[in-house]
Amino acid sequence: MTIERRLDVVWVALMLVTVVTTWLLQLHAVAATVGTLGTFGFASWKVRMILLEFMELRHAPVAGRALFELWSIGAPLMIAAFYLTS
Amino acid sequence: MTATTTRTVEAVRRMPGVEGFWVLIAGDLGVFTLLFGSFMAARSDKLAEFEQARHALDVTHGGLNTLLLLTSSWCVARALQSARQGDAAALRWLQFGIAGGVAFAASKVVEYAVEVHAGHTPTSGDFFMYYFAVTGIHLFHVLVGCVVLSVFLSRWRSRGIATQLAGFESAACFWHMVDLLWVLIFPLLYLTR
Repeated sequence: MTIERRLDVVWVALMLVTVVTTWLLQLHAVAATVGTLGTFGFASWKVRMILLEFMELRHAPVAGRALFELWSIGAPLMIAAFYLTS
Repeated sequence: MTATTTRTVEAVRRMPGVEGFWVLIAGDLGVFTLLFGSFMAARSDKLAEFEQARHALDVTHGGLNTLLLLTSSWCVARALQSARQGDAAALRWLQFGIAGGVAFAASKVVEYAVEVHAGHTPTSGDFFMYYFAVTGIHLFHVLVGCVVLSVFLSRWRSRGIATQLAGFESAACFWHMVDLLWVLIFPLLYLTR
């Protein structure tokens, strides 16, 4: 797969996940906790994809890549922790 | 993977753009992380107030803005790939990317106008204080990004596409950071129920 095609696939996936989290997970049939935590789980994945594919950290030195990948997990986890303890 | 292959891969591994620029990106992410934590702590203290105020926001508007910014980010990523190949399509991709940013900013201004017209201002309560502060700082980043990308578009037109690629890599990474910050800001303010 070319780099361009890979970027196209990632963009389509990001758009589809956004539609799911914005409109489907917000339906009243979905429990608030499930919807909110699911939304931040997907947000974490989206942030990681932007870092690795759009910002090209997939090809960065391991330490640099790890630092930003940790943030993509840590920031949503912090939000989720506040949410669950409130 | 052989030892030689491993060494070759390690030799080409690099942070895109100007390396020092990544300190700025890390710092920006750190500041926004503090804002996110501060917002969630305030929300914990005033759950009912925050939940009621959240319902005043237009989720569809926020969702469309997210799709707009993701598309703009993708266009800038494609612009960089085209520029590396000296392909004139880089100009078109970059124009679309900037147009996406301008459309996001215009959409945000419309959203602010609607909220203010409905009586929601930064002094309306903690939720709207955070809403205007977080989205306002983010909007400032969007505007800075639009200006920087426009400067590169102008230079590419006058001096050729392949000029200052390292600088453009940094500008593109800044733009993608603006995008990924919104990916967290949107659910934080609009979707946390």
